[in-house]
Amino acid sequence: MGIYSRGIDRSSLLLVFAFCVFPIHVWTLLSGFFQLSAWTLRFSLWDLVGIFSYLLLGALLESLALAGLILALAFVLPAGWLRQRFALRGSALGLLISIGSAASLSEWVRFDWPLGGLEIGFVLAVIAVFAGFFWLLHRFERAARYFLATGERILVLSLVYLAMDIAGVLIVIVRNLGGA
Amino acid sequence: MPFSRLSRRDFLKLSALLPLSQMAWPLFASEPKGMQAAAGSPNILLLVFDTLSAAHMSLMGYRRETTPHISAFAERAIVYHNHYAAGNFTTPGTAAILTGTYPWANRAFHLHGLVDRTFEDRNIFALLSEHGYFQTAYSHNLLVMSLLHQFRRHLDAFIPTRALCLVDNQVSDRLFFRDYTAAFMAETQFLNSQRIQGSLVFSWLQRLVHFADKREQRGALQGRFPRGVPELHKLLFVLEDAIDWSILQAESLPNPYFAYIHLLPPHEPYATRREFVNRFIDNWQPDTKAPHFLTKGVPARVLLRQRRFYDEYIAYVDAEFGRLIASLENSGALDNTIVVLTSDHGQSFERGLHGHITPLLYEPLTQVPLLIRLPGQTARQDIRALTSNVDLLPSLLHLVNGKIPGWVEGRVLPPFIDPALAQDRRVYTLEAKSNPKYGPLQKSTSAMVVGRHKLLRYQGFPNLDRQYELYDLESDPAELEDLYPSRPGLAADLQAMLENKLDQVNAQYGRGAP
Repeated sequence: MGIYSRGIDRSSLLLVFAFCVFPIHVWTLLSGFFQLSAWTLRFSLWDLVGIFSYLLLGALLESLALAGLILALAFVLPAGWLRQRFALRGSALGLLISIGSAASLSEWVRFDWPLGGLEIGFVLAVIAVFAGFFWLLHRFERAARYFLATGERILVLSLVYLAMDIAGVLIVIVRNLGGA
Repeated sequence: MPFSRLSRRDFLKLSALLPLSQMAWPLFASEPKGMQAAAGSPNILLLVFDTLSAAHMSLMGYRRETTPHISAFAERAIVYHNHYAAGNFTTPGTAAILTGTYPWANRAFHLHGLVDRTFEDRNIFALLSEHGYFQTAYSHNLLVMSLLHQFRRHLDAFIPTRALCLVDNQVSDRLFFRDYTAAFMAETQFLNSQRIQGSLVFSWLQRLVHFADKREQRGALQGRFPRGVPELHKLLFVLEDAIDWSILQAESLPNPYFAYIHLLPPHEPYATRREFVNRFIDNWQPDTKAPHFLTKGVPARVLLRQRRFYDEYIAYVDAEFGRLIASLENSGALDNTIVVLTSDHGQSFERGLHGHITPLLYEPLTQVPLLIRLPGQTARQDIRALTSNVDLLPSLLHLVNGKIPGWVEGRVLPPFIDPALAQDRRVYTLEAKSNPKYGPLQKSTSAMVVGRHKLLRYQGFPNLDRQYELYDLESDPAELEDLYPSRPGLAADLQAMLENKLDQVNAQYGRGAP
C-alpha cells in the first residue's frame, strides 16, 4: 500500500520535509559561517565553496533522514498519534526535534556517560516543551492554522535551500572528478 | 579491494603477506617513477613521534629516566643536542620536515593547513622518487594526513590512518579521497567540532557510536591502559599495532625504500601502558616560572601532574621504540637502513601553559630530538651545532647522493658536511596560525637561535604591537632571565637580523593573497 493511499498526501509530505530542511540548513550554515573567518585565513575561495558544498550535502542527507524518520513513525505509531493531521503533527515534530537538538549542542550541556543532573533535566524539559507545543496545536485551532500558514512560507525558503543543495552536490562531484 | 575499505584487522592480516612482495615485486612492478635506484642505496626509515620534547628525554639530560631505550640506541647513532622544530604544532612542524622549508615559505602554518601548491612537487617524496625509492607513508595524526594527501602522487603506498586504528569512523577519506581536505574540514565541522557541530541529527548518532566504540575498547584494554585507550580526533589506537606494522614494513618493502612513519604518542591524552603508570611519582619540582601573559594560567599543581603523566607516556613510547629497533636488528633489516628519529614539536608544562597550540616558543616546545643511525654505525657521535628539522630533507638527499634544489632552506647536517660550515647558523621556529595564509606575517611569534642566544618576537597579539625577549641558552637554559632590556647592543643586533629575515620572507606577500 502506498504512502498516499494511507492518508498522507503529497502536500503534507512536502510541508513536513520543509520543516526538516529549514532548521537543519539554517543551523548547518550558521555553524559554517561561525568558522568562516578561521577558514578564510587558510583556504582559497574554491576550497571554501567546496567545504560549504559538503556541509550542504550533509544537511540535505540529514533532512531526508529526519523526514524519513517522521514518516516511518507515522506508520509505526497508532494512526491517531501522527498519521492523522500528518502535516501539522509531522511538521511540529520535525521542528521540535531540530530545535531540541540544536539546544543540546550548546556549550552548557555535555551529553556524555553517565548523564549529569543538568543533562537529565534538559531532556525532561525538552519532553515537556514537546508535550506543551502539541497540546497547544491540538487545543487551539487558530494556533494550528498559524503554524501551517508559517509552514507554507517556510516551504518557499526550503526550496531555496534545496536549490543550493543541488548546486552543492554538483560542486562535490566536480571536485572529486577533478581531484580538487 | 581498495585500501580504504580494509578494516584494521584485515589490514594487519594482509600485512603478514608483505614478505612475499620481496619475491613478487620484481615480477610485477614497473620501474618506480624517475630514475633507477643506485645499486646499494640505503633504505630510509624516518620515524616521527608526535609531541616529543627533547627537554623531557633522559638522553638529553632530563632528570627522570624517560628514554633508556633511545639512549641505548644513541650509543650507535648521531645525536643532535641543539635541534629545533620549525613550528610548535603538527602542521608547520611536519611540513618543514617534508619540504625542507620553514612555514613562511611552505605556508602550512594553520591547524589542518596545507602547503602552498608549488610544494606538492617540492618535497621529500618527490625528490626521493627520482632516486628510485619505493615510498610509503603513514600517520596516526589527521593533520599530517592532510599534508600526505597533497604529496600522495609521489607515494607508492599511501596507508590510511584507520589501517592502524582500533576505531575510526571518519567518512571523508572513504567517500571523497580525491578531495580529502575540504571534505574532512566539512565533516569535522558537521560532526566533530568541539564548539558547535553543524549537524542536528547525525551528530547525535555519531556521539552514540563513538560512545559505544569507546566503551567496547575500554572494556577490552582497561587492563593494559588504566588511563584510557590512546585517542585523538576520536581515533582510538594502540602504539603496539603501529610498531608491529613498522617492523613488517622494514622487513618486507622493496629496497631501497623510504618510509615516513608519524605516530601520535606521546601526544596528549597521556594514556600510558600499565607498567609505566605512576613510574615517576617523586617529589621533584621543576623550576618555577611565572605564568606568561599569553597563557590561560594553568595552575602549577595541574602542570606538575600533567608533566608526570607525559613523562610516563614517553617511557612507554621509548619501550616500544626499543622493541622496534631490537626486532629490526635481529632480522638484519637495520644493516642497510638509515634510521632517523625525531619529532614535529615539543610540549609545555610551564608558565601557566599545558600543550603546544600557543603563541609561546620556549625551549620545551621548540627543541626536539634528532638521532640518525647510519647503516653499520657502531659508535656514538654527538653534534652540538644548531640544527633544524628543515635540514632533514637536504641531509637525506645528500646521503643518497641527490642534488639539493635551490628552494630548500635547510642545510646538510653535520657531520655530513664540515662542521665549520655550520658556524654562522641561525635556526628559526614560527607560530602564525592566526595569520592569513597568503598575507605578510603580522600576527605571529618568531624564535631565532643564533649561537648561544635566542630572540623571541611577538607581533599582533591583543594589547601588544611588537615585543621581544632575549635569552642566553648556555647560562640560562630554562629561559628565566630576559636579557632584552639589559643587553641593548646584543638585542639590537639580533633584532635587526630577525627583522631583515622577516622582511625578506614577507616581501612577496606585501599585497595579500596572490
